Parts: sequence; C-alpha cells; structure tokens
Amino acid sequence: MFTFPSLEWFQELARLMNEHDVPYRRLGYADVRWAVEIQATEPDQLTHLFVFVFEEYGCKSVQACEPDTQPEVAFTMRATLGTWEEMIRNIQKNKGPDLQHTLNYLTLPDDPIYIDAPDFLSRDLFARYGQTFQLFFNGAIQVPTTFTS
Amino acid sequence: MAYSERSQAYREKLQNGEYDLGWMQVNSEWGVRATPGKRGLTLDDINVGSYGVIPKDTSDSLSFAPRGADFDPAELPDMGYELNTDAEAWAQNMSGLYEEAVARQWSSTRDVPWHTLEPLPKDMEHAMSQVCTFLTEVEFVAGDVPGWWLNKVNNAYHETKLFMATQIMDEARHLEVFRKRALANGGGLGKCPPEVEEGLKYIHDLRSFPQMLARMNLFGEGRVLTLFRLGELIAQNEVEKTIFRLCAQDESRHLAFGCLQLRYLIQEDPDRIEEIQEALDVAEQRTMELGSTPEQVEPFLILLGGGVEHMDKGQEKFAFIRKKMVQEYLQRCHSIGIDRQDRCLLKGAQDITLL
Repeated sequence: MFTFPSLEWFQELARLMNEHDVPYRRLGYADVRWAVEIQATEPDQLTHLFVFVFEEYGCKSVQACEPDTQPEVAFTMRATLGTWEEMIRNIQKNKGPDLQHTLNYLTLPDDPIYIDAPDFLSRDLFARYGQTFQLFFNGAIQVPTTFTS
Repeated sequence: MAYSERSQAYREKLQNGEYDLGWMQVNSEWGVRATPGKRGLTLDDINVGSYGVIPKDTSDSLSFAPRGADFDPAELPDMGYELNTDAEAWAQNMSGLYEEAVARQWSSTRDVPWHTLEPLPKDMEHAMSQVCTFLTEVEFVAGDVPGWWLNKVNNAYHETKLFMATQIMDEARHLEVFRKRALANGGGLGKCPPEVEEGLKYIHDLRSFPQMLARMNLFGEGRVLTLFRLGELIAQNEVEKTIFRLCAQDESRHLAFGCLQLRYLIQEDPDRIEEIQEALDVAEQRTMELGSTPEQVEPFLILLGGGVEHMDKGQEKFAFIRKKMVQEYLQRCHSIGIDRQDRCLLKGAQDITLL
C-alpha cells in the first residue's frame, strides 16, 4: 500500500511509467521539469510539493521539496488535497478518469487545478504534453492507495 | 567557364580515363563526428562546430546550398528567399520543436477509436458536423499559409523550414480527422459561411512573415488551442475526446513556434513591434466583425448545453471560454514582449488580470 500524498506514491507512478513505456513511446517523448503542489486545507494537513523530471519516455526523477520553495520548473499543478484525492479516486474507480476528472477538464477554468508558471509559454507545455501527463496519472489505477484524509 | 563548358570538359576528361577529385579539396569543416544522444542523432546533436553557427544575415546567399557547405553564393542561382536574417527566420529551440513534432506524430486512421462511435441525437450530430466543417476550413488555411511561406525562408535556417513542414503535416492530419468525424456518424459536412472564409482569407493574404505569425500562430492557433481543450467538454464520445486531445497537443506546438519566433524578432529588432501590433489590431477587428455568426456560435451552444433545448446553459460556458481565449492571448503577448492589453479590442480585455 502506498499513502497519498507521499514521495513513495509518486515514485511508484514514476516506476510504472519507466517500466511500461510503450504507450508513452506511442505519444512521443516529453522533456519537461514540472511540479505538483498538494495544498493543505485543514489544520492537521500538510502541504506537499513534488518535482518531476520527464525525459524522453520516462520519469528520470521525483523529489519532495519544501512547500515554500520555488523549484525551477516549467509549471506547477496546484490544487487542494481534496481535489487531488477526488481525481485519483475517480481514475482508480473508472480505470481512467471520467470526463469531469481529466487533467484538461480540471485545469481549463484554472480551478480546481491551477497551472502556475513563471512564463506563459512554459505554461503551454502542459497542453503540449497533455496526454503524457494524463497517462502518468492514469498509472494510479495500478497503485494500491491509502488516503491520508 | 560557363557551366555547360565545365561539364563538357569533364566528360572529355572522363572519356580519357581521367578523374578530377578536386571536390575533395573542400573548404568546409572536415572531420566532424556528431555524437548521438540517447534518443538518436538529433538536429541539435549535428549543430557542431561551424555547422552550428547560425548566420545573422544571409541575404547575399539565396541558393539551395545548405548551411556549412562549400559554395560561392555568386555562382549559384538566386531563389528569391525573402526571410534572410536570423531575427526573422530563426529562434531558439526550433530544432527541439521539430524533433518533438516528429516524435509526437499520430494517425487519424489508427489512433482514433472510430469503431466505438454510436449515433447521436440529430441536433447534436448536426452541431458536431458543423464544428468539424468549420475546423476543416480553419485547418486548410493553417496548412496553406506556412506552405506559402516555406519557400521564402533562407535555407541557412533549415530548422525553421523543417518545423514548418511538420506544421503543414499536422494541419493536414487535423483537416483529415475533422472531415472523417463529420462523415463517420450519420451527419455530413455543414455550412461554410462567407464570414469565416473572409476571416481566413485575410490570414492567407498577409505578406509580412511576422504579421502572419502574429495573426495565425499567436492569435489564431491560440484561440484554436483553447477550442481544442474545450473540445473535451463538447465531446460526446471517446472518438471526439481523442481527436480534440491529440489536436490540442499539436496546436500547442504551433503556438510555441510562432511565439518563440516573434519573441526573438522583438528582442533582435524592437522596431518591428508596431508591425506585429498592427496585425493584431486587424485580427481583433476581424474577429469582432466576423466572428459571431449562427454557424460559428450555435453548434458550440448546443454541444456545451447538451441539445437545442439547453442552449442557454451552453451560453454560460461559451462566454467563459471566450473570456479564457482573450486572457490566454493577452498572456502570450505579454510573454513575448508585446504590451497588448490597453490596445486590445476584444470584449473584456481591459478587465483581465495578467498573471
């Protein structure tokens, strides 16, 4: 079992990506350094920040960072713990997201997931590699998960 | 010696069993051994030594000769290239964008689950067919325009030409996939109103490369990218979702191409900003004049609302998307070095907070 959110949980997603790269190869490579922020909304929760390096068809590294740092990334996907949990549960339940839980759907109105970027062109990398990111999170189907909240 | 005389002299030499081999005394960099990386030998990998030096100005060399070869421009034909400076025809990361485009190609025949299509209610099928007709028209111009400009780019900037070729291929696939969708589910092609055609013709007729990039890549492809991302909301099935998702990735690349080129031009030659601004003035004006016709608006309202009876619901979502298009457009202008907000004619532009 892997706890969400945790470094181990995302490392497991990365492992799945690296060991099952055929669909990623089909989509084409993605070279991008990006981050996920999981925001606390309750006093007993912690905010988490994870930085990913995608290179070619795999995830070269996943790191946990202090939440108040500004990692050098193309963009950060920011959302509350509740939003991430709901998305992951939906992916796991339906063996893939339903229409209301795709990354594109959740980010298009800038809420509940906000794509924060230092520059708008680097923000566009989210759309350029959109299906690669979706496939990465779809890996959650294979990750036995316990949720902290 | 005239070219034909040189050729004749050589033929005679050959007949006498003599060889020349003078071409081996080549005045270009020799001994180059570009090293492949993990993914093979990329364009960046071969930009080594003198071959990787991007010339600032190549207006004295207008032939087919590739960058780094041994040639005398005065001896070679003038192909009339018009984009002969790096400011106009090159930008950082062109080779990376090209490699990415090649790596992320997809097939409208193979990669869309056509066999899962099921009939839609008639109003929804009409709406999707009309949207696909509109997008097919848009994709035609998006391929024709870079096609027209391709032979204006000096060959010294081959990375730019190569990327433009991928854009033409991408747009071909897009028009292919939208035509296929229109004809695959009991509908058919819809109407082509003159307002749409006039708007597209303006892009086609632009004779300034930066203005074309501003109008088509920055303004147009940006709006289309938002539409494609919206596509997931209007999609009624996995076929349409797949189409819009895959097209959005391509469109984002085209947008990056235009933005990176314009950003570099502005850095190198800030005097060209006004030329770009003027193209955007007209683009916005045209959108205000021509962008609201029943054929362009109502299919989206039907698809967003969930049928003719729910078009009011669709209006709300459509208004949000229009605002989003304006916001993203102004953000991109800002990012490439153009302050556009105060000048923008589009509805709501002044109220938008730039990030």
